Amino acid sequence: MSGWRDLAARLLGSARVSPSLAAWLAAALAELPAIERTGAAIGWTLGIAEMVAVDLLGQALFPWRRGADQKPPARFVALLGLLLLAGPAWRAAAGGAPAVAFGVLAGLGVALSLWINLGVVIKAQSIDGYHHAVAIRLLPLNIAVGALAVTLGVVLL
Amino acid sequence: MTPAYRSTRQTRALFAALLERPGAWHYGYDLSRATGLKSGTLYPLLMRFSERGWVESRWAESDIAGRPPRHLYRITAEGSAAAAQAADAPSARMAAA
Repeated sequence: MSGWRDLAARLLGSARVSPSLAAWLAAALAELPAIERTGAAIGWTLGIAEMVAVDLLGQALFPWRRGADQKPPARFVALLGLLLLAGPAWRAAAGGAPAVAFGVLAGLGVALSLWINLGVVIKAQSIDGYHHAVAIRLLPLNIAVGALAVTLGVVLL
Repeated sequence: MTPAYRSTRQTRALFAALLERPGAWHYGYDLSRATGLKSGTLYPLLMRFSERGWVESRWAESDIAGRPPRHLYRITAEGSAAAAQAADAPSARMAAA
């Protein structure tokens, strides 16, 4: 397999997708060496990347859908959280009175970033159907991004 | 219980590709070329087909040395029945097998 295909297969294959998707992801990646035209192989890879991104986004936005034993996509969520904070950080650094729409978008970015990182860090589960336990995972990167979101939120308010 | 499934252009295209040689096993990339569906559309569709028992799948060693095994797909009898149903009433909801 050529270098970029191998790299793409390793990168996409290592994504923490839902267990129901994992086998299908492996099946789609296994086709990559058999695609002769480079353009078609790139299109195939982008389609797989889209499938992975949709699954990871779903896990980030709806953390309760993850299984109890499923490892969360922590690095993906931290990266996405940081990207969501780029606009609000720029807005906070610029100061002054920005347009209302930009202020609303910045607030949404902060809230979403905080939400997805909390969703990775906090794990809630019911015990015997009655008692509920909440556990905090020690994921420094996600905790740092969450703290950054809170700080930016306070600055922007 | 698996929910009913709405027949779409993509569903019918996949059924048509699988039914071109009903007893034969197909590679994912060949199905993509036959249907014009991108991998990001084809595989979620194959997952749903598999959940409903419309296709069966297996891994097979590649014909070319050094290449990894590939996944193969074949339509089942339930899949053929669902395909006929989709062809008769293209906009109807199809029940699971």
